[in-house]
Formats: sequence, C-alpha cells, structure tokens
Amino acid sequence: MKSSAAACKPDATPGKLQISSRNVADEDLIARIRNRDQEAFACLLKRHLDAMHRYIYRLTGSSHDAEELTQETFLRVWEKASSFDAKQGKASTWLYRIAHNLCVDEFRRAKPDAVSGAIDTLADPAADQETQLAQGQRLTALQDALNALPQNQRSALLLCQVQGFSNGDAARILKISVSALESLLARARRSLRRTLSPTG
Amino acid sequence: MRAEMTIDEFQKNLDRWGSTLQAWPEPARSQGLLLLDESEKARQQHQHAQDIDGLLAADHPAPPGMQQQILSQLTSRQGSEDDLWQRLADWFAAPIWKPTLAAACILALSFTAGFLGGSQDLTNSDLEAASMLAFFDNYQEIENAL
Repeated sequence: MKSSAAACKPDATPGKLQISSRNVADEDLIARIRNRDQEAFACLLKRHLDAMHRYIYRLTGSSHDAEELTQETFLRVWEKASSFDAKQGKASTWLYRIAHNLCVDEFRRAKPDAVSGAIDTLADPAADQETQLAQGQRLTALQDALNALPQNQRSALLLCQVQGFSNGDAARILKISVSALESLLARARRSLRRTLSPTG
Repeated sequence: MRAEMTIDEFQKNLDRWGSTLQAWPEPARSQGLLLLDESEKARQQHQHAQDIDGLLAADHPAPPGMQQQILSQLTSRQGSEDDLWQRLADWFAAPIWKPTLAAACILALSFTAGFLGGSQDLTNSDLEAASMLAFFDNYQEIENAL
C-alpha cells in the first residue's frame, strides 16, 4: 500500500519504545496495539487516516458516513488487534477489509441519501476560483459516476487505482478471485469512461 | 516497427489495467507504447483514462481533529469483544468468588458424603437378594435356584 511507509512523528513517552522510524512495519504496530500500546495505535492512525478517509468517502459518497465509518474502522482495529494474523496477509489488507465490511454493512442498511451526497470541498485550494469551480464540477461528476457503479466495482476500482493495492491484495480484501477482481475493474473503468466521456 | 495492437484492443487494455502503461504486462506494454507514438486516437483515449485516474486520486483528507477524536475514544472501547474471555476470567478470579467457591465445594462434598453414607446399610448380599426377588416369581424358585 502506498502510505504504509509513512513515518510517524516521535512521541516521547517515558518508559515506552518510541515509534519514530519509518521502518516500523504496520504488522509490528498491530502487535503492539494488541498489548494496548496507544502510541503504536496513534502511529498506525497517523499513517492510514487520510487514505482510509478518502477511500471510505469515495465509496460512500457522503462526508458524514466517511467520518463515522473511518472512526469505527480504527476503533475496530484497536478492539480486534488480537485477531490479526500476519500469515493471512498484510496489515493494510486486514485494515481495509475491516473498512470494506463496515461499508458493506452500511450499504445494506440502505440509506438512500448515503450515495447521493454532494462533493464538499475537494478542489485544490491553491487554484484560482475558475479552475476550482471547473475542478469541483469534474469531481462532482466523478463522484456521481462512482455512485452509479455497483458497490463491488467501486470498491475494486478504489482499492487498486486510488489506494494502490495490488490486484491480489484487493482480491483478498473483497474475498474474491483475482480474475473476478480484474473483471470488476474493467467494467468499472469502462462505465466511468463512458459516463465521463468529453463527448458525452 | 509498427504496433500490432488495434485501437479497440488498446482501449480494452486501458480498461483492464489502467492508464499506467508501465504496469501493463508484456507484450501489451510495448505494443501499447508503440501505438501511443503512432495514433492520435490512442493518445486521446490514454489522456482520458489519465484524467479519470487523476480525479480519483484527488485528495480528500480527514477533517482536522479526527485523529484526536478517535484517540479519545480508545479508553471507552478498551474492553470489548476481544477481551471478553479475559474479562470473564478476571470476573471469576475476583476476591468474592474465592470464599463462594470454597463454600460450594464444601456443600458438594457434604452432599456426596451424605448420599453415600445413607446407602451404606445395603450390603452386597442384600443387593443380590433384591435382584433375585425381581427376577424370580416366588421364594420357592429362589431356594431351588440356590
């Protein structure tokens, strides 16, 4: 995963091992979280929070749901750290599987407004107003197109294209075969391309 | 050298593997790169796919304060599901259970002893006689049998 190598800011807590190195693997952090190490949890949170929030936001299309589900995902990590088995896959795969399952549960609760939320403020703040507006419109169109995709296609696309997972890891998160994932990806990209085609 | 890949195949590959041609498997990658050099249509398709990928990758950072908000909830979520067995074990290990358990053991032992003590009046020969009475119809048969 792209963001897993990010460093954590040192947190000088006396008597505790400081997590200041980018070399501390997610798997090691989870081993410490298992022993209720809040410093390790803070480090894992810092590493994955933005990427996880973006993933859930793109998946649900709702800022409110993204906030709630992102929080719940990390709190589940805290609770269920002892159920992580490094032999079954990478820590980031496990983390996103928790998020994915929570999102699927949310979809099953079938909140009709959960997938029709408008884009809030995604445009680059450094750009001028006109560019921001155009960028905002493109992002709104993108989110609408994403929302129109079946949920499994959306998940596959976001995991591979945005979160940077390999096809194998994304397939593990979604609990499907790699060939099924590739099929979902192709269909998702084709749908987005047609919806967002400059020629309409 | 001219590309053998058609525009349609190129588009299918874009859908299948995305706009980063370097990530395509061979020989599709080299064929795709050749076609990009040759065809304006292929370049348009590629640009469109890159635009979509760029939009998808647009940042949407978590709201400020979210990190602290999550960290502040850890304590309240400390002892749930995973700790269930541990908490159950701790509960049974609580000081109140030790005298209760001791009392229960004494009670169980007393009951067992009382039950066994009451049945000590019956000897093996009594049990034999009772079995024979149940089996034979009258005493005469018993005497014959003995």
